[in-house]
Amino acid sequence: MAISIDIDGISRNFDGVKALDDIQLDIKAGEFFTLLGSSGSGKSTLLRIIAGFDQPTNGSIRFDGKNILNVPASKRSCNTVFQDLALFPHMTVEENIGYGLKVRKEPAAQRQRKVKDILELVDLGGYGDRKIAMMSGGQRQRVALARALVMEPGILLLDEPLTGLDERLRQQMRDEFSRLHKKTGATFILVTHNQDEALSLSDRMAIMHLGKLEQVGTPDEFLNHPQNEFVAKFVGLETILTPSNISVINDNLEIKIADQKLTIPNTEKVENVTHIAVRSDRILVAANDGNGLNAKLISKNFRGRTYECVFKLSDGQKITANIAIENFKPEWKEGTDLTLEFEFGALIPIGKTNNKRA
Amino acid sequence: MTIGFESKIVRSAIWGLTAIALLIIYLPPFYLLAISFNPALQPALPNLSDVSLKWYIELGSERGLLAALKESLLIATVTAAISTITALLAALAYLELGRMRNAWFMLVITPMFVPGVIQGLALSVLLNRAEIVPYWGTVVLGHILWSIPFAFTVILTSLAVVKNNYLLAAADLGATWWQRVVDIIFPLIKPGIAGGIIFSFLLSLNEFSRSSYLVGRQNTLPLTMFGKMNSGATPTIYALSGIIFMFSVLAVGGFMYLQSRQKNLKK
Repeated sequence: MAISIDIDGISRNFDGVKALDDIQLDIKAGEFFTLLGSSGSGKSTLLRIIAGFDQPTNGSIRFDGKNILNVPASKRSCNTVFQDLALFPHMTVEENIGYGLKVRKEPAAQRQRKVKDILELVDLGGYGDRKIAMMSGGQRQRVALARALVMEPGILLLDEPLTGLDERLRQQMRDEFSRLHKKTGATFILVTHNQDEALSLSDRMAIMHLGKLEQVGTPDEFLNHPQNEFVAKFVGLETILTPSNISVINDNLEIKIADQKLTIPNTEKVENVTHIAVRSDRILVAANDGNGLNAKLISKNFRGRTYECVFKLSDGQKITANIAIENFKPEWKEGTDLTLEFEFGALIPIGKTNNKRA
Repeated sequence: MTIGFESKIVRSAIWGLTAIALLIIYLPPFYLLAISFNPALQPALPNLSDVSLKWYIELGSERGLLAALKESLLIATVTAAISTITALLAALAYLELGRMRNAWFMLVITPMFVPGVIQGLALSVLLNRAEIVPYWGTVVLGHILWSIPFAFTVILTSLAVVKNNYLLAAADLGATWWQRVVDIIFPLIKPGIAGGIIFSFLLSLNEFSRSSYLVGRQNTLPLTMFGKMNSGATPTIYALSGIIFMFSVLAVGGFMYLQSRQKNLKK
């Protein structure tokens, strides 16, 4: 049964340094929730506190409404997949997976059946009697997942489990997480520093920075309505423009940038807009003047299916755009003056107020 | 081992020095071992045709030496058992300590550097105060102080295999402290425990200075052998030395083997 988590005012000080600063967060039962942040943001500390490996300095955590801070890690109905997997090297695959059931004193026959079923679930049928040292990186990952999932936890904690895998395996395991989340129905909490992982897997996610939550919401909200510059940059919105003038006209914003005017819809009604984030994948380039911004192409890099182009406005601000190779004309060289046209949703207003709670 | 980029001269110098060092370390005991197979009374290298087990057979009738050997084996066994268990507990305590680790390590290791004569004297004065008549148990007491630091070091080294996350993972799966020790720590540090037993056993078997203060009526083997040498050596002494030497080498060799197997298991 999936369990909901209620994090209420959690702080954690390490020798006077605030690793977590008054965290307020509700995670719904059965949700795939991601804590996204760079190293030192406090995301792993929060996970360790949920797992019971660490105690907060202040605040409380409730699982399904019950305070669990005085419940030791061994008695909490959550299981963890560790960053380094922490598979027991002296046990076989089967023994690793069955260890928790053995500790729980489940009868041998039932244990065997559960281990066999979970091995099938993670696509490792027949690997039961292998030594851990004989398994490949991706297989070990699955063993670690199976070892946690076989306990049928209400909450599964994933502590950067994809770090150290090559790109192809990453993709595979990502799909695997998603499949297992649907299959088990448990609450999944993933800690990662990779925004693609977070955006593609999560029902909801939070970006952490210096021990605080910068924003909580669905991946869509992060992309289309980042609450501040930091969040925008973290989810991959590289270009953030500072207009010289912004005026609100009904539901639209009229901005002036590099002496050119643009009108953009403000559907989210962001207040005190100070910056405009630009989605690099929703920009079109036209040769002559159109309804857009005139800019000079200053560099282009081949990225497989696209050219990553950097444009410079007359006031010196730069815009990065990813242009599909079939839309890129060979006569466009560094130094060519072009016009950038913005598709719907390409320009995202960012307000100054920085609402920490969501 | 091969240092690829060094010049030939440097490499041959390194190999030469290594050979000389090994010779200095290993020649004397092997010389003694060879002598023990010479049936002549005077100590000398035997001709290949003369090699005999004469002194080894005669050893069987040396009552004094055998009684001393029996006493030493008893003392070494008890010492090994107590030292290893204590060292293991000290190592587990080390795992739990945070910043105090270095202090704890120094505290446990220091008896290694207290001269045996002083430790033996100190213990014997104390036991005298307590009116305890020396017997094999008092020797064990001295030997435990001597061997715990060594057993502790060996076990601590093997604990490096036990990553903290293994213990967290076990706890996460519901294991209590005791289950973590028995299911995770013990199997992983088995070679270290074996090493602790072997080292403390051998250290006790060969200990001299502490024993000389703490011994009761029955002398230990090193004490008896020393006495015999002073009153004119019989070649049976060489035979006994040969046995102890071979046994020690085998024991340490066995320990090395166990440890290399553990390393293979790791990667």
